[in-house]
Amino acid sequence: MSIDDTIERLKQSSDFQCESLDNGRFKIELCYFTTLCDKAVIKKEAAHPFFHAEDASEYRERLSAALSCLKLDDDADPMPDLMRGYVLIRFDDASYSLEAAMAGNDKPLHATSEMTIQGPQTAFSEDVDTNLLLTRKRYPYPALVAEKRNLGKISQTKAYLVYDKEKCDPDVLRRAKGMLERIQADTVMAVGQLEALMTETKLRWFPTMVITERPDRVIFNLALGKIVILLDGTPYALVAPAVFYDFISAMDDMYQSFIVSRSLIIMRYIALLITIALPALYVAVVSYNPEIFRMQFALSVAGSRAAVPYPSFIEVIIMLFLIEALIEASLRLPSYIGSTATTVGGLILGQAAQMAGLVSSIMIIITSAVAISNFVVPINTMSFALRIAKYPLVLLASMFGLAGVVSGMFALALYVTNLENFGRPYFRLFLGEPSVAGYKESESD
Amino acid sequence: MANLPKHAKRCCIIVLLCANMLSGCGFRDIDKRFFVVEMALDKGEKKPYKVSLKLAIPSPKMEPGDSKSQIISAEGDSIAETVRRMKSMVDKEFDFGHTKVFILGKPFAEEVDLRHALDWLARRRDIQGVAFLAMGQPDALTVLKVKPPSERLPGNSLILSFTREGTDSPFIVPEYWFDFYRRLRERGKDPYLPVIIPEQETFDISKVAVVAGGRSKLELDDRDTEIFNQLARYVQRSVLKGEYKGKSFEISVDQIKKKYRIVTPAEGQPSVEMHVTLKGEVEESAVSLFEKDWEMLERNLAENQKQRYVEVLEKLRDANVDPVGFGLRYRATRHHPATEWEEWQKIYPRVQFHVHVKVELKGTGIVK
Repeated sequence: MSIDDTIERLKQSSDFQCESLDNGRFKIELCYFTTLCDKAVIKKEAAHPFFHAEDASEYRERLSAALSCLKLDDDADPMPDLMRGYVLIRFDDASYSLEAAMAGNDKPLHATSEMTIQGPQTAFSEDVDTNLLLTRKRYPYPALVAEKRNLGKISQTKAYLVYDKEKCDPDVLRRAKGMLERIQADTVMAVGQLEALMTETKLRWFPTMVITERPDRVIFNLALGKIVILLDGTPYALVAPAVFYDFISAMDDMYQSFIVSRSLIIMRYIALLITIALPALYVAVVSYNPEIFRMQFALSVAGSRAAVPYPSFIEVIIMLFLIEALIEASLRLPSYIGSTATTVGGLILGQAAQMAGLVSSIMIIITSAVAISNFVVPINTMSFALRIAKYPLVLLASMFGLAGVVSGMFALALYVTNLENFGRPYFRLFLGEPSVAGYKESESD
Repeated sequence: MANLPKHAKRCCIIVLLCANMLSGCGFRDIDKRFFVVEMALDKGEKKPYKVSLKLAIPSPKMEPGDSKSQIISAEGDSIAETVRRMKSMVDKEFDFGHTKVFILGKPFAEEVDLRHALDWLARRRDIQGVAFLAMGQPDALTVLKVKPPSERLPGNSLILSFTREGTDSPFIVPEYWFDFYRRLRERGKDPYLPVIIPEQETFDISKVAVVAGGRSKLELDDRDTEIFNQLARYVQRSVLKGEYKGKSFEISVDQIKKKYRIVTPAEGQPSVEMHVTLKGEVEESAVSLFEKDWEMLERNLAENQKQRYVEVLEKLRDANVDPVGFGLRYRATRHHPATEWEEWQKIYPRVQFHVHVKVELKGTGIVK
């Protein structure tokens, strides 16, 4: 397709503009998308030199000297460049394309999904170049390499594969590049989707790459020798390969004192067990093995359940469904209605459900313990994955009692242990990783 | 599975999900179970066993004195048969998982061979080893019927007394079922049962009955029970009485160390050499003791205490019961599989007890 054909095709859009300029000595034609290009750049790099140029050859020299300006061959297709905010400059005999893209949302946003109390407060922006800038600024080291990729057949979303060449594992890097090559989707919009596209199996459950909005987490992981993918249009970055522990660690752990952060980590693991196992344990203990309780407690549980006509697992399923619906609703609602939903759902519904004899008061405590413990998990994707994990366990508990819960937990452990990412084991602790923030113990050196 | 069409797979999943609505046979919700909190075993009038169960009735609000329970009794030829018969008297399934106290009636414990009678307890999987055994006087059902006004839950006051979560009386000699069973089968260490005497609205648990050969043999009064508690169990609390110039004082003991050795010389009397060390503080006194000679007070206390130990030990020896476990110690230290037990049975009636008591006074409670 020749340049003329391309221009004819693009002219159907009203934001595509072709202007002829004449300075009295010679003429040029500028073609660009007004919505994509920064007029100031065009004026400075194309229009202003043209005004001063004596003849076409002088102007040609000026263009060759300008930043990010390329001469196009006669048979080259300018379409991809035009779509990304380049200006096509046409003479009678030659064409140049000049980069004049307008930056999108390049303001760093406030960290909202991964808060820290005393860490850095800003997250990445929605512009990938700004994000790369943030990364470089915090990691001014020559071995930091950023490879550019355009992902998605139509969207051609700009992405950077960022890694520390000295520290990262070449095998992991090779695999990651291969995965990016193989992406077949038309549009790539978010890093979560990118993770799905990069993973081969369709039945994914636990996240195997960390999605983070925190520049400090990215820097920390780069220094650990991991690779980071920055994607245009999303304030999140993808960090790979990850181990299970990464999802349970908050950046605050590194900013707190030793004893405090270790206690918090232990607390998080306990919360993790609670959120996975508590509903199943309730069913198993209440319906199969009430002798586990103290007698005093068993009687009070029996008393509180006395008004509930349904078997325990129905009760659990009702309550868990309500709480999941509540969480989902408050996620999707605008934040100013969200708090109303929580109040209505949490307070009124919980109290009323117990009064109406639909659920026991112990069940209300369990439901809220499960929901609160779930929010303790610092990385959002993991917290979603764990929300699912309790249902198979409730199923097993209602059929096989405590033995079912134990075997379910065992099966879950087997599944997670079996997971791999980038050929590395997933369910391991942080043993053997270099101590880059004075935080994780080092075993390798 | 892999080569089934897609809709067949989906159907399978839906069927499996619906199957979840059905539950297994072991599935019985906590509110569909009757918790048996106490069980009483008596001799029946017509048949050998009379079993009574105290069933807790749970209620959402539990306040002191609010405990609700139901007592049912039946007679039968065996415990298993009777319990099965009783199932038709109630609307829910019995759950023995929380039966914490088994009470044997006094005539039952004295006349029936407990080694066979209690077999049911040992075999049932839901009966806990940490349940307590006790003897009820005059019979077990009377104990079951007592309803202390402070009770929040049925049976709670007996449980609190025996687990020492509540009262910490030196007169209560709790006996776990697992320990009772072990002692019942072991040669050289005999089981015992605390004796519960029901009063108007409360219990008096201050005596102990020692069992030998599967039957209750000897009952000790409350004074001896306190000493028994120190000898047969590792109780750390006690009260000692002493005299100073004709005026009495008492010390409360909070630490007791005890060790003994069996001496069997080739010639002469076999004996048990026992050393006991007690530490405590003065609790009540008619005279000011702080400036007195403490060593003298200690010697006086030790002499008194020694008398009491020897008295109880001899009482146990004369009844030919051995709850302290001298026989087991003898078998362990002089091991002859074929003859050890016969030897000990010859030695025990002749054994002399030499008790050496040392009392350490830690303080007088007040300075002057």
